[in-house]
Amino acid sequence: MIRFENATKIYGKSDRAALDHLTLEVGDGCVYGFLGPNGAGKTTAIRLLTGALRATDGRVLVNGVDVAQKPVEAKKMIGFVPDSQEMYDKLTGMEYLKFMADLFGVSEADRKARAEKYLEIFEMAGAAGDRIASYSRGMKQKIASIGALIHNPPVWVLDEPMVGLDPRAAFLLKEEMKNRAREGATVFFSTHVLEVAEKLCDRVGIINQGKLIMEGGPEELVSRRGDASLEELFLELTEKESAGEEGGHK
Amino acid sequence: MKNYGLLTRVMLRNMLVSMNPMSGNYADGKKKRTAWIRAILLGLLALGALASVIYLEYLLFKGLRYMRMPILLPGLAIFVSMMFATVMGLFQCLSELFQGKDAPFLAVLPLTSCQVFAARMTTLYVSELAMDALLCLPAFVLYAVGQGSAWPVALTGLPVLLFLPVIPLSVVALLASLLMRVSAFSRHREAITMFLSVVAALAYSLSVTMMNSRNMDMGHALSMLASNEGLLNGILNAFPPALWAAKGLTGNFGQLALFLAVSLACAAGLIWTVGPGYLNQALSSTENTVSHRKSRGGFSWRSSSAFRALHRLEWQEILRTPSWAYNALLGVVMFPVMICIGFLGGFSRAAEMEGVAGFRQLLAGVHPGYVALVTAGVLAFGAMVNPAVSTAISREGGRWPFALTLPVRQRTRFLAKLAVGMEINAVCIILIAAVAWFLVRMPILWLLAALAVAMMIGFASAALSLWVDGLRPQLSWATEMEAIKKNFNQVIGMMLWMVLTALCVIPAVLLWDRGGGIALAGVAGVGLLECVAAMLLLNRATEKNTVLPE
Repeated sequence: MIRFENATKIYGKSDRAALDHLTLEVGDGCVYGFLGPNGAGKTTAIRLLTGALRATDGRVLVNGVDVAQKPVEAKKMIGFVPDSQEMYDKLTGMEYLKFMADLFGVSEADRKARAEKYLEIFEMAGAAGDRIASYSRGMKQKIASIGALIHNPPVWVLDEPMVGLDPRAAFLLKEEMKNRAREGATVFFSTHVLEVAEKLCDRVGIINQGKLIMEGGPEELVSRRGDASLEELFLELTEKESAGEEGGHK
Repeated sequence: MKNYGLLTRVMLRNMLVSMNPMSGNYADGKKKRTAWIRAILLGLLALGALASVIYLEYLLFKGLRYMRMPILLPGLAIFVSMMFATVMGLFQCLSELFQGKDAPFLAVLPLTSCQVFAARMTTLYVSELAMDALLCLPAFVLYAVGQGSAWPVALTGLPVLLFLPVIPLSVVALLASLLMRVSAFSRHREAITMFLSVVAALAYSLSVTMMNSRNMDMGHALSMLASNEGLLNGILNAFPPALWAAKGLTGNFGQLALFLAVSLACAAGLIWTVGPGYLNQALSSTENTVSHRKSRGGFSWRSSSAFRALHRLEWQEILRTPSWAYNALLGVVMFPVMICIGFLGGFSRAAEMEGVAGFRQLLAGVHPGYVALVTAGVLAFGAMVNPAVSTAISREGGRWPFALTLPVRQRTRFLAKLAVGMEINAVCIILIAAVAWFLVRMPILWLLAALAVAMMIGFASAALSLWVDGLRPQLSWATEMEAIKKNFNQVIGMMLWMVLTALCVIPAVLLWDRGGGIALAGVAGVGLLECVAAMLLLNRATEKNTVLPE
C-alpha cells in the first residue's frame, strides 16, 4: 500500500510547489495510473515515493513505513522502473539482474528462478548475455522491469513505462502489471498514454501544476463529469488549470 | 573548407564553455557566488602553476648559464613537451576521436569525413598547444632574454611553438586509428584498445629512456661538453623532431625548415590516410556488438553483500568505460610505471649500478627514520591525483536519481567507491615503494612505516575528495570524458591532497632534531588524525545527503 499524506515539494527557493499537498492512498491489488501533462509533478511524486527526494512537507508511506524516516526499509519494498534510459549500461543484462538481486538480498535460488521466469516472459533470454549499451530503448525498459521484479516487491512503481515500447512489449508489460496486481501487489505508474490508463487502471489520478485535481476509477471519472472519454476529461481539466500559466517545474 | 571552419568553431567553443567555471544558468544568487568562488580559485591555481613553472625554469636556467649550457633549457622544454604530447596524447586521441557520442549526429550532417576529422584534430591541437605554451614559452623567453637575442629567438620561437604539437599528435592519432582497427575485430574492443595503448605508451617511454641512457657514454659526454650543438645532439637524439626544433630555435634555419616541413607533411599525411575513413571508424566504435548467445550456462547467480555488489559495479564501470579507465586508472598507474621504466632503463649498465651503490652507501650513514620520512613524502605523491574518487559521484550522471532509489545506505555506497579509489592508490604507492626499495634498500620495517604514512595521507585525501564530490556532484554531462575533464571537484581533490601533505610536513619539521623515528611517528600521528577527521566528515555527509541535490 502507498500513502501520500499532504506531500509537498518545493525546489530550492522556488515560490511554486512542484507538488502541492498531495494526499493519496493506493491499496494492495490496485493498478493506479498517475496522469498529468509535462511538468505536472508526476516524476516529483514518484521521486518522493522512491526516496530519491525528500518532501518539503508531509510524508510518504510504503506499507506503513515512512520513506523519509526509514528509507532503506521502504525502498526494499519497492520495485522501481525509471523513465530515463540512463542505466548501468556497461553491465550485461544478467550482471544487472545479479546486481539488483544482491542489493535487495534475494537468495540464490530465488534470483535464478525469477530471472529465468521474467527473461522468458519479456522475451529477453537471448539478449541477457549482451551489454545493456547494445539494447534498444524497449529492451532497456524490459531489463529494468525485470530488475525491478527480481525481489518480488509488494509495490511496483513505473515512471512512463510505455515510452519506447513496441506494441508487443507494451502488451507484455501491461499483462505483467495486471498479474502483479492480481497477486496482491500495488502497481503505481505515471503515463501520458490515456488509452492505457483507461484500459489498465483500477483507479487514476489526474495531477496538474503539482495538485491532484481529480481521482477515481476511469469510468467513474468520465461519468462523473459527463465527458465522452478519459482523453476529453483530461484535456478539459488540464487546459482549464493551465490557462495563462506555464508548467515546466519538475 | 567553410564547413570545416564552422565545425571547428563550434567544437572549440564547446571545449572552452565546458572549461569555463562561470558557464551555466545561475538564477540562484548563492549558486552564482559559488561559481565565482570556483572561478577565482581556478584562476589562482592556474596563476600558481604558471608562476611555479616560471620560477623553476628560472632556477634551472641560472644553473645552466653558469655551466655555459643555456640552450639546454629550451631544448629540454621542447623534449618534455613532445614526450608528454606523445604518451598522453595517445590516450587523449583515443578518447576524443573514437569515444565521443556525437559521431552518429555528425554523420548525418553535410560534412565529409575529412572535415570532421580535421576539426577534431584542430581541437586536440589547440588543447595540446596550450599545454606546450605553459612549459615552453617561459623557457623560450628566459633563453632569449638571457642570450640578449630577443628578436631572433622570437622569430624562430613562434613557429617552433606553433608546430610543436603537430608531429606527436599526428603520430599518435595514426596509432590510435590503427589500434581501433585492430581491436574492431574483437567483442572486447575496449579492453583490447586499452591494453594495446598502454603497451604502446610504455614501449615508447622505455625506448626513449634506453636511447638516452645509451647516449650517455663517455664519447657522447665529451662531445656534449665540447659544444652546445653536441649537447643538444646528446640529449634530444631520442626524438629527432625535438632536436630539429631546438636547433631551429637557436637560429639554424635549415633545421627549422626541416622541422616545419616534416610537421606539415605529417599533418597532411594524417588527414590523407585517416581522414576519409574516420567517420565510419568513429561510428563503428559507438556501435555495440551483440552476440544474442544464451550465455547463462557459466553465469554464477551466487549472492553477495550490497557493499560487494556496489564495489564490483564500480570496477566494472571504470574498466569498461575507456574514458574513465584512461583518466581514473592510467594517470595513476602510469606514474610509478614510468618511474620504474626510468630506473630500469637507466640502471641497466654497470656504471649506473655503481652510482646506485654509491647512493646506498651515502644513505647508510643516515638514520633509516629520516630516509623513511623522505620516502613517505615521495610515496604520498602517488595519491595526489585520484579521479576515481574525486569524480565518483559525478560519474553517476543521469543514473544518480535511480541509484538513490536502491535500498542501500548511502554510507555503503560511498564506502564502496572509496574502496575502489584506495585500491588504485595502493597499487600506485606500492609500485613506487618497490622502486624506492630498489634504490635505497632501507630496512623493510621502515619502508612499511613509510608506506603506511603515505597510505594514510592517500586515504584522508580520497575520503575528503569523495566528500566534496558527494556534496556538489556534477551530474550534468553529455560525454564520459566531460564527466571527468569538466569536473572542478578533481582540482579540489588535488588541492586537498596538498593541504593534507603540508599539514604532515609540520611535525616532520618540528621533530626533525629529535630523530628520524620520532619525526616519522609525529607525521604518522597527524596522518591518523587526518584520516579520522576525513572519515567523520564523510560519515556526516552520507547521513545528510541521501537525496538528490536541488
